[in-house]
Amino acid sequence: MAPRARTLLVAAVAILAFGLGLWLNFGLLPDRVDPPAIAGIFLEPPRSVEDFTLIDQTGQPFTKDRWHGKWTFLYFGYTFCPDVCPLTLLELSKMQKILAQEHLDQNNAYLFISVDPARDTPERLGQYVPYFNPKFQGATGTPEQLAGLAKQFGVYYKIPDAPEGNYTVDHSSTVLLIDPQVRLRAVFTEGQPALMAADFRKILEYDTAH
Amino acid sequence: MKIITRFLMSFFLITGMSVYAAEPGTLQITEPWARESPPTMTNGAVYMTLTNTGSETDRLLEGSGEVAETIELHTHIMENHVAKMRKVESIEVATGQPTVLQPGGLHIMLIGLKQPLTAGQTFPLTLRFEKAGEIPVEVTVRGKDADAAEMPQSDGHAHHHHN
Repeated sequence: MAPRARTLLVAAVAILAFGLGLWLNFGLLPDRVDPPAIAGIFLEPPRSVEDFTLIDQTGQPFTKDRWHGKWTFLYFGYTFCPDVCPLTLLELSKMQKILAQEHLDQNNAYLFISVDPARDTPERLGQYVPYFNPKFQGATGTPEQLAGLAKQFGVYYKIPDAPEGNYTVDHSSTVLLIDPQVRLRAVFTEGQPALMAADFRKILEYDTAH
Repeated sequence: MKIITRFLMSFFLITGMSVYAAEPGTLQITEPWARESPPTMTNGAVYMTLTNTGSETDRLLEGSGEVAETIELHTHIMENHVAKMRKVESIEVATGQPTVLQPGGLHIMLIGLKQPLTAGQTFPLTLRFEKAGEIPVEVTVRGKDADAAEMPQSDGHAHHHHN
């Protein structure tokens, strides 16, 4: 091919390639919204919650159907816990008030799941949990059900092998977020109320942008 | 015995003893407080700030009082976001910076409260230190909304409550 013709050909290919690149970047491939940076773990993709049965504070069975259509904040603990559980429940309560002020609590649920069913009966939960916030609910279950659910959420807890008297239970201090499609979306590792509220807002915004 | 010998003996005896006795007032305890009991709760925790203005490290060995059946010293070990509460035999109070007993960390645990704690009440507690000896304190019980320093207030600034 003559030199000039070749130059023109190369130029044409270059322009075409550039044009194709622009089209691919802005036209064909969808805009990518970065996952929100939160103080904790944001699950992308979300993880669907598998079936479980717990007992709520009125003694009624509690399944994952109850979580449809609402955002649920979950915390695993036990009522004989003198320090970390009251602290986290108080922080969650403050967070709920911030969300309510920002009109982000149309239909949220707040659930305290006790991993200590030997001592935490539904009745005890019914007295303990609403003290922190009237919107809070409590639930517990059989050791097998609790173990299964905790495993789904990566939550750790340990009842001593030969529990006696005033035993303490090691447990994860994280707060879990379940979405209205009953999927695990996030694990909050920092309990500060304003921070959790801000992270929840980021997740809502991320969902809207998608 | 010669007077000079007696004098020297007394001198060394007194200075020797002072090694074992802390100067009074070197262990400061500020804001001892506890949370009011949620319904059904029979355990509690006491928090405070310990400041050692002396020249040697001291140690809190125990708390005692009538408020609960058993009183123990505890800490929390946080491992991968798992809260593990553990009994400790003593709490070191070094010189230089305060030792803070606070939620999520070191605390004096009250096991088997004889009465639920209610906001506004105070109760006595005696703290025994290795060097400073026994120091009695009055613990103030705070309600659940009392430590609201972080709460956004409508007038734009946080109120810090001292009960």
